[in-house]
Amino acid sequence: MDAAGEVTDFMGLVMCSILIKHDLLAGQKGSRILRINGVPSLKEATILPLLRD
Amino acid sequence: MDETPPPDSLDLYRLPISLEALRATPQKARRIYLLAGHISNEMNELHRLAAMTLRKHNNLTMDLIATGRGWMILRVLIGKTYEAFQFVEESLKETGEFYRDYLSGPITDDTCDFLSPDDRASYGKLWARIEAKRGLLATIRNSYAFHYKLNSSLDRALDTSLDQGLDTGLEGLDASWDVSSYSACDPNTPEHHSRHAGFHGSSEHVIVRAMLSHVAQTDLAEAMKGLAD
Repeated sequence: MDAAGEVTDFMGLVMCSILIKHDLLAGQKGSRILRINGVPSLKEATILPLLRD
Repeated sequence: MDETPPPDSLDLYRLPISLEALRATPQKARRIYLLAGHISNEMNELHRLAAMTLRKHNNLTMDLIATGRGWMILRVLIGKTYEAFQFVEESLKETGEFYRDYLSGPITDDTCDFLSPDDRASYGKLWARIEAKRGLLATIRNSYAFHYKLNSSLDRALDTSLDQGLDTGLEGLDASWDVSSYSACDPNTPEHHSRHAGFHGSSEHVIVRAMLSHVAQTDLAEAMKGLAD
């Protein structure tokens, strides 16, 4: 799962590079628009229940 | 929104992308941008879906079935991770052009104010870490995620389970995977016997065990940790 996260991070870097170089934001800025509560953390995931009796 | 966030929260940011600016972008960069976003979308959602599925349930049978479902999602995610690896290698690294024009130059505070200095410096190291997992990703992608193969790994996995049992050696997790088959029917449907969904524990167990055998660990618990890492 870490490898998947790392590939996604890499995709983010690729997209950011293009976004910055070609100004896809068209002069605008990104902003925080929402805080969502009650979202399960990815860190809570476990594959160990596979082996539960 | 400046209060201390609770531990189970996420902040959502919006970047207002302009389609006009995207259309004016050079064709190759535009295609890479769109496809990288598509890949990122799939990986993010599969990752989150796996995480949500793998949460502990109160009922052991539902726990078992949810875990099997989690492994199915995880296999597809591993296959997709390998495909993303191929995309980068074939579309970005092979030509060298994209790397030279976009990723090899320094990203400075003037050009980027939302990546940390560590992030800016780390993409080379990041790729090296992904590259080290290529063989394992390829094996799982080709043998378990995207193709179905009748091969000896199934026999070996079954033999291993019969010889060694399923004891992980992990404290509190002391025995066995339920290898029963389950069938679910809608009791309100007269023909419900023909409308069922099933989960076959023996198949899932053997496939997972065969998959884990490719991780370079002899101990099952360590193998699972290795695959999760």
